[in-house]
Amino acid sequence: MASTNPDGTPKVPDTGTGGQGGTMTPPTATGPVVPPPPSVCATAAPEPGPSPLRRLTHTEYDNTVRDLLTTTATPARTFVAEERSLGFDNGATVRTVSQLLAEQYANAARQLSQAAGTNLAGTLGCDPAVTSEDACASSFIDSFGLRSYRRPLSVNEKARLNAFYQASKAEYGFPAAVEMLVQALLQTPQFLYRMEVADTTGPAVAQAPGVVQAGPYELASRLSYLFWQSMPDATLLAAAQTGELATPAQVVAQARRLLLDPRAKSAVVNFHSQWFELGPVDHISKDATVVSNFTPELGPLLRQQAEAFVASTVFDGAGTLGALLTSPAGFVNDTLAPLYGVAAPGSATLSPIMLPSTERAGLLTQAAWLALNAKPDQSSPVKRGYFVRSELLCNTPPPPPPALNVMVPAFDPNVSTRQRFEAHRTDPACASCHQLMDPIGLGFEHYDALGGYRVAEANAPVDAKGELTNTDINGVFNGAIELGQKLSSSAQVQNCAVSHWFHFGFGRAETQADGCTLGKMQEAFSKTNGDIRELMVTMSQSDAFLYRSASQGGAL
Amino acid sequence: MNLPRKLARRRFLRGAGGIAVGLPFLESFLPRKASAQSAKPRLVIVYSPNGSNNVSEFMLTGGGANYTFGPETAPLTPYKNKLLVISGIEIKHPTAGGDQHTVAIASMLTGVKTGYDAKFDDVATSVAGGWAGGISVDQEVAKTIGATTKYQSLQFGVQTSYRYGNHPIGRLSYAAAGQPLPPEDDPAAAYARLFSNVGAPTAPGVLDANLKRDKSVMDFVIAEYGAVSGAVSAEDKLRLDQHVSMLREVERGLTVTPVSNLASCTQTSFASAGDPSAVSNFPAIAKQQRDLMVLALSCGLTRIASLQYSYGRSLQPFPWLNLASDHHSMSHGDALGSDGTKEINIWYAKELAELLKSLDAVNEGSATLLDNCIGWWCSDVADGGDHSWLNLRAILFGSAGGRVKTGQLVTYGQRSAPVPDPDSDLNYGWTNGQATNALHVTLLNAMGVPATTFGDPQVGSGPLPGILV
Repeated sequence: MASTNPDGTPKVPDTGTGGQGGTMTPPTATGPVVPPPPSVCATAAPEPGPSPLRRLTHTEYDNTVRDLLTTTATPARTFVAEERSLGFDNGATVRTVSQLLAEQYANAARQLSQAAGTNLAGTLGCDPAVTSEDACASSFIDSFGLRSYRRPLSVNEKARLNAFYQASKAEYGFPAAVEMLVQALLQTPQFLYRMEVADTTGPAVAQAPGVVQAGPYELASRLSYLFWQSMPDATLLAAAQTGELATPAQVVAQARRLLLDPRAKSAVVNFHSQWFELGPVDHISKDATVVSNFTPELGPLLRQQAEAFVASTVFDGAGTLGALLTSPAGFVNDTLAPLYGVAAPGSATLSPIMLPSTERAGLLTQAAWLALNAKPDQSSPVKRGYFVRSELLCNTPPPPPPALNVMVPAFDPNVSTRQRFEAHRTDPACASCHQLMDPIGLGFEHYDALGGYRVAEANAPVDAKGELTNTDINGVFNGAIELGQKLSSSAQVQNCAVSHWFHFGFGRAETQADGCTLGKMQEAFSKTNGDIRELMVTMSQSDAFLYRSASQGGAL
Repeated sequence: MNLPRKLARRRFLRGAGGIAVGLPFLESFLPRKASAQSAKPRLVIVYSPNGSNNVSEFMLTGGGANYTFGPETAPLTPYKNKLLVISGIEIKHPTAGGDQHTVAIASMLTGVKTGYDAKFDDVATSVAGGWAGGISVDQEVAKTIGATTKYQSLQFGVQTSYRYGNHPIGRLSYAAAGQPLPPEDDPAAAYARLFSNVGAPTAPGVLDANLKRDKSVMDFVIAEYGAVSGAVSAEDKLRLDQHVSMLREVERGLTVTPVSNLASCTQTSFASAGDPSAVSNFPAIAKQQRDLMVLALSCGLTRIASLQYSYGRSLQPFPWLNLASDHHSMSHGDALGSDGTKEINIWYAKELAELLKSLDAVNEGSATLLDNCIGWWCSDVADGGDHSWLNLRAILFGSAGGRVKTGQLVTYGQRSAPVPDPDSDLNYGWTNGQATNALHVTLLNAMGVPATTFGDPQVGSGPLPGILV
């Protein structure tokens, strides 16, 4: 039943008669992907792996319409919740469109096009009184179409849009016809999906039959959506047009340029926000009788605090994964200061501060993560330990076996959490899995249900000793700060982060074809001591990024 | 600016904050006269998570018309004659891997082996599973009889997706294998969707200028999907085809006369109950969603609807019941004082009773809307502590317009082992029960859809004996 064997190795997924959505989901890679040695990859023909059709995520949708229409509207924030697979919202093969979402796309397109219509001259970029309505519309289709589809339109696409414009104009007049063009373009597959097809392909690769270079406009979008989660800017589109995305070096140059833009900061924060599950922190609820300092406003504040820490650590600090797991830097405002036992900065705005260094170091000691991975009335060694093993060590424990009556001792303020969870270790039915989680999670016992620091529980000093097993950093540790140091020294954790970046960057699971891409990322991450921006740049140099399989389909 | 009606209404809604309008008080507002169209049977699914921890207190006992409610179901007592209680329903089809709550909710309405997708395992908590492996029974009905209403079906949710997103752990309805239908969790958005467009088209096929424009745009967009789908791989084409099938449904909805012209369906108003994701708003959001569902059913916007509370393995806290922990933790005994699950199930039973009251208050001639419904209150597991799928919750309501014998408790098979301890149903077993699939067939038949099997045909056929008239 479980996805993994008790030792953490993946089980072969059940592909029985039920299937998983018919033929829509490709077979999952069986077994871990082991990168070949770099010397092998250096001379190997490029292997890009699959590149399934990717629909814009809600974040990408809002960012894209912001950059396309210069709007502050964020319609996708009210779209139906997104699928989350492999930890991220962009898993191409599991994402689905319901009627509700299709209606929401339609409503957003109508509202955005009406707003664009209120500034018709600005939207059009030409004056119908000077040229002619039809000439202006035609040039608008070319220019706005280029930015909407993120590439020049095919002859057929232009013809279809022009025919639609003519029919609309005949019935509703020129201004309405322009609005309707925008309304329609925002719902086309070319806009909502990142289509990489025969018309947009790059040159074939001689030594790898069936493999092509990603086309210049495809690369422009691959870059902009990886680094900005948005459409290419004018510079990228121009580089694509003039053949300046033809070499890996030219791609790197653009990657480094994109990293300097504030949009890159948002993308990096978004990655970590999804990895560390900061989004659901907005909705945490704590029991007022036990956690008296909780208010519902704290949730979003804790998330913002953690996100500010990620942004400043990656872009203004050491820039490494290790720093994210060990840095005592933090952000507080007057509301949050008491939770951390620091002086209020005299401001409602989150301000940088050094948190008490014997109590806090890194994301896993900040209240956002601690509060989510806890219960309303108590800490949770199981959730915290599970997260560390599953998300940082990429060694997911299996779910509870079927028909196991899972009843744990009730919360009792006079008994320590460690004592109550003793059954997990003494009962063999529990121990086989919980030995993978609880000994790690108990290392966080200094942090209560909301993430506040405590020195005593149940009238006794907190015992925060923990132990790591079945990892490359096995051994005992005392408290979460030591744990963070151990995690930051672990190659297993670094490779796990690379795996998450792969999922986030390519919107899919790794396959056996991705060995050299993963190996390149792992090597770069290791050599730079876990530098996150360098890892992103390296991704832009990988086979999975620079190449793809030759298109099987026809023209647009 | 001359805003099209939908936008104007949305703006009005947002701008109306603070004005205490609110949904009409249903009982005083709903149609009292029969209408031929609205007397058709309706299918209603209600879901609340985590089963019960005292199945003997939850499940009703007795047989035939002589049955009694347990303490956890007592709030339903006034509707005894309009309920059909079934014991001995279980998931019998083979299941793929994953967390048991997740597998069960994906199986509940589909009756077929779920997809297992390792990509869903990696979520930072131990939920795992996959999309359902087939169409759900409500959608099978929708496919057959839904084309006459503006919406083939409607899914209303109460905080179903804020924690795990669009994840198998929170999806009941599927248009097809791997095509989940997420509920709308925001009553304000649901209201705007359903009632801001009331009255248009004025007659079947007659569209005003705004609708005509929208339809013209949609026609272009649909054609564009067709024009480019040959350029992508066969696998990607399936995704585009799925997308366009949803667009066609949106387009069809634009042309359907949406509602009866009764005042209760056209003169609606709405006041926000606050952030639909806030824990403390859960009861208020639930009431609005419940009322909207009753309105949508009574106004003929759809004949198939579901109301889903939370999600499988729900971590919902219940501060308004003065319970400290979350539902799932409590179902495993990890809570201060009372285990809390009893209070939670009583609360959910009261919610259902309120729904039944609203449905029963709508007069549709010789019967009420409740009578014209066939409903199923389900949960992902029978027992929250051991995740049992034996003797699942099967409390049905309404008679589908006289097609179903209500006012009885029917038992299939029997308990295979005595309950060793009244407070614990460890080893609680069941033998010779009926598959969920047989219940699905019963629902299909009650809705006038001919069938003898549904989902996995190997594990049971239907209808269940002794239920249909």
